[in-house]
Amino acid sequence: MKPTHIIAAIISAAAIAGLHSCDSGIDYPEPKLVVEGTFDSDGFPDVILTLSVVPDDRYTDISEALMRWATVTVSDNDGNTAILTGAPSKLHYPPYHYYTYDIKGTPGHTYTIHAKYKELVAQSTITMPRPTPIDSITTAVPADNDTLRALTVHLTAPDDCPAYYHISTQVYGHDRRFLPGTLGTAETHTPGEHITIAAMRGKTSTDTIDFVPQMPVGAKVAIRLERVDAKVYHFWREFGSAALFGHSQFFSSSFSLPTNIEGGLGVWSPQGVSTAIVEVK
Amino acid sequence: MSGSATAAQPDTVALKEVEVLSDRTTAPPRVYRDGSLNFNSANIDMMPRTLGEADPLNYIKLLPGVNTISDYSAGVAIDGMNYANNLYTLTGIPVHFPYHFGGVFSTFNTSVYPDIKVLKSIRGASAPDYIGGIVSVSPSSARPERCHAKLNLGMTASTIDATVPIGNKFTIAAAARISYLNLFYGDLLGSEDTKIRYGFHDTDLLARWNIDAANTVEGAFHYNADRLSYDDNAFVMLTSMHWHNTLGGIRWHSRHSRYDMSHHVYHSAFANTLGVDLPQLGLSAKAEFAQTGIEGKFNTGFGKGFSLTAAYVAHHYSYSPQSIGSYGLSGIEHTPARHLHACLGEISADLRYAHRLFKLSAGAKATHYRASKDGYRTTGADPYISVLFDRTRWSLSLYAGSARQYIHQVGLSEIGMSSNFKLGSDATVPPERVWTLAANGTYTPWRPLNLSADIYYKKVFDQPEYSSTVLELTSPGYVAEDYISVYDGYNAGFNVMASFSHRIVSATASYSFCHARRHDPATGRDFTAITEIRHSANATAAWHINRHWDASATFTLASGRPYTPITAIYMIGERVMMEYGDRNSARMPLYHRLDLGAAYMFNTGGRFPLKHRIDLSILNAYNHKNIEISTFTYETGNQRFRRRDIGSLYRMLPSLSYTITF
Repeated sequence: MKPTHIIAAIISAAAIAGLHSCDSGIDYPEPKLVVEGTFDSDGFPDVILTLSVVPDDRYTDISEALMRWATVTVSDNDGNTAILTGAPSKLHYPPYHYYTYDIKGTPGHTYTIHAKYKELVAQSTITMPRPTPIDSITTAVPADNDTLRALTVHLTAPDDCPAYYHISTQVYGHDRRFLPGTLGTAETHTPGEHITIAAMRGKTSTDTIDFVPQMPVGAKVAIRLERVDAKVYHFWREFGSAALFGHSQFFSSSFSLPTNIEGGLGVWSPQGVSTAIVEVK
Repeated sequence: MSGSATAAQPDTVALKEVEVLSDRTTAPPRVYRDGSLNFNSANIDMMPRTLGEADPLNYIKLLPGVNTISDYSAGVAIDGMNYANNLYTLTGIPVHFPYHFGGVFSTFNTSVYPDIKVLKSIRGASAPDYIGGIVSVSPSSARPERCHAKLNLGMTASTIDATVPIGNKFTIAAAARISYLNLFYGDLLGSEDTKIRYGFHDTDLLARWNIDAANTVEGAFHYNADRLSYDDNAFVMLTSMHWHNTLGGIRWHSRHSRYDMSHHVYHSAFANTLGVDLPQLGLSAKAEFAQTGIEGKFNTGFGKGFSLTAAYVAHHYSYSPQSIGSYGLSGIEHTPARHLHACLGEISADLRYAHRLFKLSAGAKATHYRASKDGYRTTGADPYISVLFDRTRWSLSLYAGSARQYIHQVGLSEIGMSSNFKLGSDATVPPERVWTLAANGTYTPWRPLNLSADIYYKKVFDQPEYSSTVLELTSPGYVAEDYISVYDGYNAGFNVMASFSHRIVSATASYSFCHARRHDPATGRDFTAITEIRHSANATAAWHINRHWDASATFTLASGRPYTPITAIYMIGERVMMEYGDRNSARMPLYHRLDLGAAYMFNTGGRFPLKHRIDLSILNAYNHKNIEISTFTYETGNQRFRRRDIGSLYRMLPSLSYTITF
């Protein structure tokens, strides 16, 4: 065999071996309903329902995600069902939500959300945990900054552990509503354990000013301690990670968020809540 | 033979061309009969410089089968293997992270260590325990006849080095380099939303004592330290990385008419710290890895065409995979730093037989490894066989063999970062293994023209992958190994290269094909390895116009790297979230880049004759924006999602450097 034939044979064999491995294009799934639903103990269901959108090469308008004509219901394990009303809202973003006052949150009850739009259906069933009271909220001065305060929520783990917590905060005059706090998750498996959770502002994509997680001195802040189901906890924990680090080329972050929504995305969270309002000094 | 070959002597056959390692001609890099790639500092000097620096690890990306998956990353994938599967040695001493910023330049100084060898798939039993490539950087074997020194003034860094023969038996070489990258390039490397700050320094010291005609003792020391910060204004997050290598060793080489041998003792330590800072809060992860080794090799011939290489290795590893610290985070208790140890002992033998028509090599390595964690221990044996058909104009090598790797490197980044950390094998993360079938052919149809091709199939086992997120580092009881999974898979591909060398022009053209798949046992599905750069082509040309002027160009064209595509975007908690498709199922756009270089040289005489050289280089001459990562943000004012493409480090970057040699 001539040497040129040897080299040609090597190349040909490899090319044939590689032929079966052609690139496939990106397989975009059909859009799904996205649920951001909370149902507080002694409160009422509040749901932002949107549609996931297929990313475009450059821009995608938020209007493509708005869901104005869906049917949303919440039912409990006693057989009560309430149909939620859709309405524009300046307190929500995107500025549209579904609500009802016909069903009130009771810890220990199981609640099912069902959302339907054309052929798209999303649903989830979660039991509302009992709330855990906030023992205290302490304030610390961050390093080299006298205009901010770091707030910490203190609580005692309940007898019916395990217990999972998520913190939401609202800075009056700045935040439209309660928003998920930065690094605001904790879990405990030990009754009576002293738990501390940082109460920091959430990092949003809609902020028009620089993000600062601590609370400004002089602000009036509402802090909501949410005792949540384990699946909801895992959602918020992963959400916190994606919100903080999902954009960085230094960290691998190509992980989809978990969800407790069948047929959709997002989170349905009947939750036992304890709320405190503090003046930051 | 070059000094580096002692620790990493992988040749499966006796190679006539080995002396070429010290040849300082401007001939293009060569592919040897075992598929290894060989070049020296003269090759690098002929090519366009990167930010004023002529760097060997930047240069190897132009060689066939050697790819990088991101301009931000530090490392190369050789024949589709992971970055962490490569071993880099400085005169035989392992360098655990041989890179400065983003792989732009390495820690290797080519004035002190001008000879570079890249060993790919074909290797002997005494090759080091790494399953990817082995990049050996070594000093010239030629003894300098007089003192010489060089000062290189660049726009990002300056280097001074000197080589001094003392008497007839001693030679000392030293080099030091310091960077000031922020001065000229800080704004160019950043963007509207990002600001990069970076600095490094490194030092080398090499001493050689030629005791007599047969015995040489060589001592080497290296230190480098780097500090990088990346400030992303859009997300108000500062990412910082600090890292340093400290290494040194002594080798005794003894040559005799019937045998030669070398013995080597060294220590090499690497430490890094990753910091993530948000306003008033942050966390850090610090990792350390240190290796102490004693190695030796003995070569002899038996007559009748038989020869033998026997080698021994004893390594001790001490490491602390990650220790976590934080501030501004209440209620988080960190796991104390863990200090782990492991040791490795091995013996190997290569037996060679030279027939009139072929050369046969066969051998095996036996290893025993013990780790302090859970009393883990394992024993392995790795055989190989190769045959070489060697003719005047052509050669063909066939190889089959196995190898294993006991030291792993994983991290939060899958594109290779200094923040990635090393750890030894244990029950959770067993040794990585590879079975390789490879063939390499060379052909010289006409003296100035060399053609080469190689083909490989690698079956890989137990490749570790770390899946933690930054946030998990804050979890109580966090242990890095809990987040490591291991994968099996295979790589298949081929490389071809043509090199042309003439008195005034030299040029290379190469093409590589790589197919690399891994199997995820959790999902039962196969996926494309991130190191699979399916097609890549490189062309280089250097033109020695006259005694004053040189010109050069390199062109790179490659498939985009695999990535996991964003298949949907949505909003939760007023935050844009993304849904991802199948792992590594899409590719970044085609990568291409043209670099140009020109050098003007002149001499000045008088009492102190000096050689001067001025280099002008333009990186990415036509300013193509190669995309490194795509993500989505939200424009509140316009109420729309916006795609945000983060481009390569290498936009059009001109650089000027001045070198004076005396």
